[in-house]
Amino acid sequence: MARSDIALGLVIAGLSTAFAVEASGLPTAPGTEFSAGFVPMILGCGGALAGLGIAAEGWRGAGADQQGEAGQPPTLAGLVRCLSVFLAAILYGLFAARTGFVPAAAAVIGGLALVFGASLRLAAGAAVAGSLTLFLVFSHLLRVPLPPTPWLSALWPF
Amino acid sequence: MKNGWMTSGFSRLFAMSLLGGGFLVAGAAGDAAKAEYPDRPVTIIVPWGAGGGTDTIVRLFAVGFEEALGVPVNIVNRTGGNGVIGHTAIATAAPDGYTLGACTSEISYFKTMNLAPLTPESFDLISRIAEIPAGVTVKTGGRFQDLKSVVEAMKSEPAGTLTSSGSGLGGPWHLAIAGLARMENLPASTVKFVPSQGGAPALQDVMAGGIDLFTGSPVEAKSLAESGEVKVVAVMAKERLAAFPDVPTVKEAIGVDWTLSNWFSLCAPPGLPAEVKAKIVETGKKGHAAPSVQTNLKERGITPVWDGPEQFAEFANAFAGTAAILLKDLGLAK
Amino acid sequence: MTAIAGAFAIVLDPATLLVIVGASLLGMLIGSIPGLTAVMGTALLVPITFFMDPVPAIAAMVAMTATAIFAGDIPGALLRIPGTPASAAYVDEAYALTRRGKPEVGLGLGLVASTAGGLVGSIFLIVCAPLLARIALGFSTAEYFWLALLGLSCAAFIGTGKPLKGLFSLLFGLAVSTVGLDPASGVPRFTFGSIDLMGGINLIPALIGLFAISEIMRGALHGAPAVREGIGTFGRVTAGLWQRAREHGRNIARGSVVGTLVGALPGAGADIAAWIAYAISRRFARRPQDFGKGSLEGLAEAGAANNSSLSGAWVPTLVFGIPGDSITAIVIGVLILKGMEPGPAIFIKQPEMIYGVLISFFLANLLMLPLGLAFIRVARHVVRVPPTILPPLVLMACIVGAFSLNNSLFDVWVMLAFGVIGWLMEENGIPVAPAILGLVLGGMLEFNFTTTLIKSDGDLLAFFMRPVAAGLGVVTLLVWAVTLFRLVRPARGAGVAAGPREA
Repeated sequence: MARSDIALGLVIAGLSTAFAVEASGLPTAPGTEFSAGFVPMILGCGGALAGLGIAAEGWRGAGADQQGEAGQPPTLAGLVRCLSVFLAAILYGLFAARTGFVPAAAAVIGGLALVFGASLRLAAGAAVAGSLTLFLVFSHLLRVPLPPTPWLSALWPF
Repeated sequence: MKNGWMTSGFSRLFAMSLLGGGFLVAGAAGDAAKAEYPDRPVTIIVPWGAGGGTDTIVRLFAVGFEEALGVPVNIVNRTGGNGVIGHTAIATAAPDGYTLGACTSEISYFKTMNLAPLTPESFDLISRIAEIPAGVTVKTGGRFQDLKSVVEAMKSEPAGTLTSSGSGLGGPWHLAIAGLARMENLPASTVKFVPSQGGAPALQDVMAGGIDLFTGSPVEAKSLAESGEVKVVAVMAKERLAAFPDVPTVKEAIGVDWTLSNWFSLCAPPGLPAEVKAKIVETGKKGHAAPSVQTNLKERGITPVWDGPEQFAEFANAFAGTAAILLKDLGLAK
Repeated sequence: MTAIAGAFAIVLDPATLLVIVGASLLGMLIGSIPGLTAVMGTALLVPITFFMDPVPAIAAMVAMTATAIFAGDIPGALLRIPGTPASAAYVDEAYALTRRGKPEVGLGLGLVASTAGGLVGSIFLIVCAPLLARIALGFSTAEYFWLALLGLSCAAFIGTGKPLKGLFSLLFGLAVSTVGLDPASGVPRFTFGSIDLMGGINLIPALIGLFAISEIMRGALHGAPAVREGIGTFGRVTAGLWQRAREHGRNIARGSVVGTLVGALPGAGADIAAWIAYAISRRFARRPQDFGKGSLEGLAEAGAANNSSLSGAWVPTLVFGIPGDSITAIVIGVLILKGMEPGPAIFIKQPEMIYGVLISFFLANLLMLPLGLAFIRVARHVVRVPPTILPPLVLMACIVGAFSLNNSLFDVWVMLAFGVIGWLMEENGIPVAPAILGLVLGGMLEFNFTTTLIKSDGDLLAFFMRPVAAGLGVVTLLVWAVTLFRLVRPARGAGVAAGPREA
């Protein structure tokens, strides 16, 4: 009853083999004894063996106790929440340079909070407080060059 | 003070941030064009790690530069890939004078080593800021007492018996020993170069007996030399160093005229507007000449240099030529 | 004697004390934000120290790093996000305690262990710095190779009932560490033409992804952020703390010694010290069944080790000018600027300065106890934040933290990718901790392997040709033999060893 472990082991073995094959094509630099792919090839082969071992254990049924707490299938709402986490992070990466840090971060925090079921008030409060705090700490105290927000620094030049 | 309207509606803020983006960028760009350079903070990208040699030099220089420029100068470290990543970031930044960089000697051979399509022409070169000469350092009480005995061993023993270290393969300290061998009419690879991640681990391996020579900067070996653990037998400079008055130059030691220094510079993305570049050259020179910058650099055994755009470009191209010859001999050029 | 009195006068100056307190507070902040490390904090202090006297300048760095390494435990315990890589080794233990409703137990013991570790490390630094430095500098590449391998093999099968899955996780971490320009040969590996990948996968975004992002994803998917379970139960930190600390005195002492020694080795810092101490505590544990479920032994030992390694790193730094870790690499520059040229002579030439620095080590670590207690008191409100807005806030903090490492969005993408990988791994019962260990040690392992072979022209015997290397090699091979023996036995008999795992 460890069909998932058999599949997992085979996937691991496949990926590891691909890694080792890619490594085998690496050149040898002058002055070095082995190719730059020597150690990665060992790692890839080790990974492939571990994958086969996992599959074999699954075959023998040793992995059956795995389906426990995390076993329930995710709900649709859960999938939406999970995807929106990614979407938010990606949108931040794409747009922050253009909008400046504070609006982008506030949008991410506030938008996600709404998706997670916060009230509008709570989400807005978290968005404003969170983005401003992060901006102050990172940009001012720690001098990290976060994308600037021109209209905000004009309003509040600190 | 503006919390009042901001908390009034999250959706409003959201809409504003998304829709207003383009408008804001346009506004900011217009402002920058109107005002005289510089009207906001300037960033210098350092392609090496915080606390390293390049980083220290640039941070010391930035203190004077900031004062001369009249706006804050922020140092940003973009590390990794033997400097490729940071140098690429400098070369591809907007050429508006607000992003400058600290180019190091690697720009003369990134292309030769087929690591990145970067050459000195990929940048607007402002000036060198400092240089640090290479040297030859050995373990005290080992088989070598002076450079002469090192060179004799290089000649008499089979190639690859002696080992040296200090930087990555093809790095400046590798070129230092390869060039010395070549000046003695030996193959550039006579001394086997063991790559290391910086000067300190290489020096440690000299002490541990793992390698014979450290061909990096004697400055890094100062504490160890003073405590008698290692001995600096020569510096690869035209003159003796103030920090090591008793250590001969290569020419004094064996009569061969070989010098090699690692150098550090101020550079910019290509295509700076002429008046911006003139301003940077002018303020940079002024900031570099500030007494605090000069003393701080010299105190650490670093030689301050300011040679301006033309001389620097000439120098960088000459250096690239030397490096290409040596790297080809070493089999590292592709 | 007059030198020591003079040193006390310098340190106890109100301005110096104020600097120490301020730097400690900054350290708390930096350590508790994922992505910001003690190294970055030190670099940040450099321009500020230009305007300070020598002893306050150095004291500021000492205080900042000590508190940052401790404060890394706080998000680790409360959110399962190690604030700095040095807290990664035992983050699962601390978080397990929080999930059982006892966050104050892990945090309190971590604080005491950190303080004790820092103090023990300082004593070592004062008493036997020259001797320790001499030992540490005798290590060549062969010794470092064995040390890295020993670190891996001690900890390879940590925290999993499934050794093969742990082994794969470890190999995965090692494989990730090979991405980028090979430091030995300069050959780009697995970069697929990407300039960003040439710099390799940074440990910190990977760490945040594997621990934090995967946790946010799991919480989002199943509608129950795991953090919520801790809500409302946050007892007094000091309740029963001293007794627990005494009970684990042996762990704290051993961790402190191990941490100091590992720290004194150039090239091995607080993160490696914590892993090795954790592995040792597990091997000699009184209650091995607790590991992975909130073991106080592992937490105390590793918590002490990472702080004592900070002091250990100063040993080769002060005596020979060879930095013991990346923090002291920055410190050396400041020492020289302040006219304190490192070297054995520093103890004779400038005794007031050097004793001033050493006293500030003590003071900073002592001060960490009350400041840490106060900070925990503030930080515990994290568990009361509504679960609807906590994940978005944590996500944003992680994004900025990953970004600020290199001021590059690439690290943010790495973090997200490793979030998915971490989630996939844990869904399939593969532990993520060994992967982190592989990432931490992978570079050291391969680089020293390659350079040793370059020196010997490919002769594998080079790994046994030096006495210390041979000794370390034999120990490593013995550990391997024992581990293999234990692996094989329960698979056959399924007896004693398998019992507690299923509990």
